[in-house]
Amino acid sequence: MLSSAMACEKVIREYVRSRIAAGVPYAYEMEEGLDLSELGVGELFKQSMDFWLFEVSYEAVRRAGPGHEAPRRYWGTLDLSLFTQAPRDKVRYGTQLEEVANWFQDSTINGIRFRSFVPTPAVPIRGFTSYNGVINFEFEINIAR
Amino acid sequence: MASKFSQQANKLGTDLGALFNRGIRQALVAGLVAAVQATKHDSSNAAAHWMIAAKGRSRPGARKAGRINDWRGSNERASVAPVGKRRDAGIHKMRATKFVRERELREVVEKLVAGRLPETVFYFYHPLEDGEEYAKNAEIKSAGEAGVAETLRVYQNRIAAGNARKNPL
Repeated sequence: MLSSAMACEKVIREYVRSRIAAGVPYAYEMEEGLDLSELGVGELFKQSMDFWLFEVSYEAVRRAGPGHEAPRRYWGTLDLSLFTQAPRDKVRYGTQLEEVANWFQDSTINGIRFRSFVPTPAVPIRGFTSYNGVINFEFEINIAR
Repeated sequence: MASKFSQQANKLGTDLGALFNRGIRQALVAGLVAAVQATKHDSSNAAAHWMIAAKGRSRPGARKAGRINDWRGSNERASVAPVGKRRDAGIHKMRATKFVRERELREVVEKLVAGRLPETVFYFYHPLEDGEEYAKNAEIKSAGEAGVAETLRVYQNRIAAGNARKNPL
């Protein structure tokens, strides 16, 4: 069982790092928008390569049983996005997105139970087109007192 | 005492409402941050004036951030903390982002996106007029478009994720 919500993000980040191909820029959030791959291309919206975004957000946390020492169950979502400057091609980039989604969907990674992948419509942002999808997940953490 | 089924239906309705509130809230804040980031930062003065406004219930022009002071060419600073000097080349970008996000969360989002009847029609407001020289240099228009696009992306992801859950949370 994981020890904290941040441990979950650590697991997801390490997993992404171990699976993603070399030479592909990626980030975990849009806010700073800096590349975190070994390429280090800097601000992702100011360069022209395709890049990935793996965003984690938590929807809810509840006790998973009776008693104040019961483990806490977290419900979260992993947002997968592929940003590209190429002309729209739903099938081509949707396929690439699904290949990455298959790393996670319907599998358990270090106690994090990932659910099915749901694709969402593509959105144009700042000269890029973003192909999106979400994967829900659940996990429990141990409350140690 | 209401029946078991109507209790369940009420709970479902509450949970769905909460899903929409969470989605609107996250999407708005993400869009605001995207607009601030996409603005061209020099002193970060223009970016610090991005605001969220709702249709009908807020008058952004009447708020303190609804007026812009042009500090270019002077040695004085704005009274708001994250705004730097001309030719700072955006070193205050992250501070400005944090400042704008916290201000809009506190003054707009917490008030209007809550409860059973949240506001649903919003716009991003910037006090600079479109076509003004300053607005052109700071790239306000494209920043606003980036904000709207990011709002759309986050909102559709939140709703899709909520719909794919077995139980609404």
